[in-house]
Amino acid sequence: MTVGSSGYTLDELSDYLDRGRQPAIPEIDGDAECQAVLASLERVGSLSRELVVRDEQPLDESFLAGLLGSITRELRAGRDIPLASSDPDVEIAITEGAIRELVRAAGDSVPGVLVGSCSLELGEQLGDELVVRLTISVLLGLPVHSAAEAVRQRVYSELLRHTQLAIGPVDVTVVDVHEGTL
Amino acid sequence: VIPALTPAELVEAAVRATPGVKSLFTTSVTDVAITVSIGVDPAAQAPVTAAAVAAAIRALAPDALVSVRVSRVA
Repeated sequence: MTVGSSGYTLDELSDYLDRGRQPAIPEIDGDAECQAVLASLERVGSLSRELVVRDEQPLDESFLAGLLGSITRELRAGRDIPLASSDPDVEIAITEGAIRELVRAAGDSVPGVLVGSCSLELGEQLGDELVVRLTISVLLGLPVHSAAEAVRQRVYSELLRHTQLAIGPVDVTVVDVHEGTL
Repeated sequence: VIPALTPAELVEAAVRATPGVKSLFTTSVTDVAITVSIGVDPAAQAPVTAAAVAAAIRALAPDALVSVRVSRVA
């Protein structure tokens, strides 16, 4: 399965990242979905390297495999969510994939948290309520409730900033813990 | 001699110069419509940036139908 309209697979994107994105491949560098996948791979890679440097147990392989599958599925552009425009000859929109990436990045930005899956439920009309469901892995020793609440607040804040959606529940489920140092 | 910019290049320059725009993914320019796909800086606001991009394009082509799609906020 290729990512976006690049013609490259997830494995090829991963190799490209490992090579420091050299030599540059315009089909990847110019594709929004590829860039979103690369950004997620970088965040996961950064956490994995951190655990290795600290001589901690690396991320569980099955969790990682599931995570990479989720990232590839979720970051497709999906449908366009309209944004308000006062000019009838102007249409502006944000893609579902962009919103998913925003949510995923907001969750990953909470220290000790790695987002597993991200699901959005949204109606067809401007003003329909958005429901967000996230699963996360939390660093062992971190208060789970506080971590989940921090994720919820950060996701809510980013959605408020970058969309015009009515934001409904942001459900966060902790499905795993990973080892590391606080 | 400075070669003249094509309509697509003019649009691309206007989009890239708009505050909050981090990347420009695709540009399509026809006789009646202009469509762009952009990435927005997370420090900006996607709706505000997209509206500013649309305004910048409309300033170049007042009669065109304009479509701005935010494909990334990162």
